[in-house]
Amino acid sequence: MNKTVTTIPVYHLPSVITGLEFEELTIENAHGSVKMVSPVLSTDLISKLVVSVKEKQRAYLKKQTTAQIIDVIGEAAEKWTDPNYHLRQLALKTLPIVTGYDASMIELELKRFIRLFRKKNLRRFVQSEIGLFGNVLDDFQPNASGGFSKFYGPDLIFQVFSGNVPGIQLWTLVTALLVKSPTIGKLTFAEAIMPSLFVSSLAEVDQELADSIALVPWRSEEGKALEEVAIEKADAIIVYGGEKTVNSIHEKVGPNKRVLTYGYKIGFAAIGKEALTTDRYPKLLDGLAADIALYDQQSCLAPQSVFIEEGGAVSPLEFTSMLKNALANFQSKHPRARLSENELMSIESARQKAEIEAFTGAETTVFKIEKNLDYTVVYHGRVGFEPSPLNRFINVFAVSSLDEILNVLTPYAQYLQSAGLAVAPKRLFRLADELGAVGVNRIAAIGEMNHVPSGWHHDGGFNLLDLVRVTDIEASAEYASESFDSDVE
Amino acid sequence: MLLENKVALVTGGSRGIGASISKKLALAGAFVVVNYLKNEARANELVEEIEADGGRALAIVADVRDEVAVQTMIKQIEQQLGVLHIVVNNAFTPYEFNPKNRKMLADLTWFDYQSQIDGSARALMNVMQAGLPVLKRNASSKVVNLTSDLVNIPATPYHDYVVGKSAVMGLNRSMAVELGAFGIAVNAIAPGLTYPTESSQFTKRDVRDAIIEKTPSQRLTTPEDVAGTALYLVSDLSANVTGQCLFVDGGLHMG
Repeated sequence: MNKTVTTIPVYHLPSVITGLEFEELTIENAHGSVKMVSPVLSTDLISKLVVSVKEKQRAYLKKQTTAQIIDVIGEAAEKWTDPNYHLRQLALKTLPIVTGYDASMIELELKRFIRLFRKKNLRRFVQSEIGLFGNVLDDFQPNASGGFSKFYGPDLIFQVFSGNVPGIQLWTLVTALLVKSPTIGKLTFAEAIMPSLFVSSLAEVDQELADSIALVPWRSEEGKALEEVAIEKADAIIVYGGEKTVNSIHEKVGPNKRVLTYGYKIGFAAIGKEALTTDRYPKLLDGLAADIALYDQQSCLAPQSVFIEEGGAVSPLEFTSMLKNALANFQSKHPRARLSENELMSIESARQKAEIEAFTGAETTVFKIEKNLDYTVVYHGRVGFEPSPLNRFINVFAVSSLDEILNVLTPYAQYLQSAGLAVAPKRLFRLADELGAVGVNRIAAIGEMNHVPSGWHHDGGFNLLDLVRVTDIEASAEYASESFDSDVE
Repeated sequence: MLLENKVALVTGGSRGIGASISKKLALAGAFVVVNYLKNEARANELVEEIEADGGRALAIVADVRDEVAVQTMIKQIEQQLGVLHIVVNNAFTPYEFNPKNRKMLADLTWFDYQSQIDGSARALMNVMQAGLPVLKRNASSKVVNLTSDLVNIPATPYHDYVVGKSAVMGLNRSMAVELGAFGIAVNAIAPGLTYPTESSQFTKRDVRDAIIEKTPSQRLTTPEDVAGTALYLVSDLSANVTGQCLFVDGGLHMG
């Protein structure tokens, strides 16, 4: 066991907030020891943080142009591309201990993820969603109906983060900055590291900009009063988390505030027979195994079921057999995170269900290692759909045509998100359209399901547009104002 | 035990090297299917011997050169045992290793070659094609193919036999490539002159002594020697070893 304890702040406070008391939480396991430090919280403190970040927004953030804000975020992200950057090193040392994910997997994925926040990618992100390179957030811009419009972000965003995937929180932290809104963020102790460290990087580049963000961790069950204050003061709420969390926030917020939720989602992969040629299937196999194994399906982007079309050079059953082997290999390369008793039990019970199905004569085969829950692959010889207990548990369905999958997906419409597709160009658009119609909002290549591009539409919504409100100067006002020019004749 | 809960099929498993492998695998905990061609009494005797030692075995008749017979055997294994993890392709067309009376190149007929190819390549094809769907269901499976060190050092040029065993060597490698992704390891064993067996009884003392003289270990190979290597190759001790051929011949051939 590594005896050195790494101490890490898991919060970010505006620089004017001082004189606080702190508490510590130590996580110790086979990977090492981390002491997480965070402020002792009270409703008073939350109120103070609200005042402070709102003040900073008025005095500083709202006066920055979108281009200037992009420069600051981009510069902070560039720091993270340097392997010697102290905060990156701190993150890579502590994240495996706190999250349980394999260290080399985190390093690889984080490196890739942080590049999405480079200046060029942020410009693309803003341009793809609101155009004009974001100028409409800076000043009134001519609009298509003859007048002028300007976009305003919320006066305060309360963000409730989850901890399933390291760094995922940066998306909406950045989104809030781009619409020039201050953030109060509730972190979870499960992964409070990346958001805290990234805002520290922002502070290294521009302290004032970082002062418009306050991030503190608390446990949902102990922090009801804190949450109430934050909800009351915010005009928009962004929630990540399971269905329960999302519903509970919705109930508390009521109908008058904007709520953006990133909740439980189901992804799947679909492989056409044309992709199962003898020369193509090995790459597909590697890609699919990576999609399933990266972050143990905890990301909402990962597949939970796979549909394989019959008629290719390898049968669905054969492909499934190889998938089992690919997942076994992934385990030796990037072991799955240690699981809680609950998680292990849900894998066990899903396995039992599949085994009963196999035993009772259905065309079901369970691929697994006895007494070992590292991975489970369940092959079903007929079309169907099963959400997975996650953590490298995958259901594979053989289908005679991919057209069969639409019917089984429909009941899950509200949960559908990513689809990994391996089909020839002539069916890509038709199938995408049909999947889009049943609720799928993202179609990616197999092997890239966990990697989104900048400018993607998270859960099928807009990132910036869903947060802003618009003020129009209508053409009539503009023309009328001309008549009030003292020099007009 | 190394092979606990494993089911193994040993083709030509009732006598010679095959019988030694059957016993070895059963002693290591595997349920062994002893495949035989003709001698039912011999096969049953071996099964009884294995059971007397606390092992479990079942004798099934099938000519591995006959596609339908092999399919029937695999079906029987599936029905009776449900699974199959290990296949040892040991059977071959009976061959007399007789240095004095071997056929010269000019005397061989295509029938001689064909019968060796049938006993090697064709048998492998039949067993693998029938067995693969079952093997592919396992988390990992092992296939061991018996070839011969004569492929590399044909001290006595048994042309037809060498052709058959060379085919096994080639298939051993190409099968390993395709089946690796399924978690199926494929390896070969190339024994030297293995004595005593029925096939080697015609290799008389003079030739045996000449071989011994050139062999670093100064002795011939026994069926038990081959069985030890087979146990290694079908157990997890050989994890991540595939496409290889191990020579069990006292160092006569160094590959």
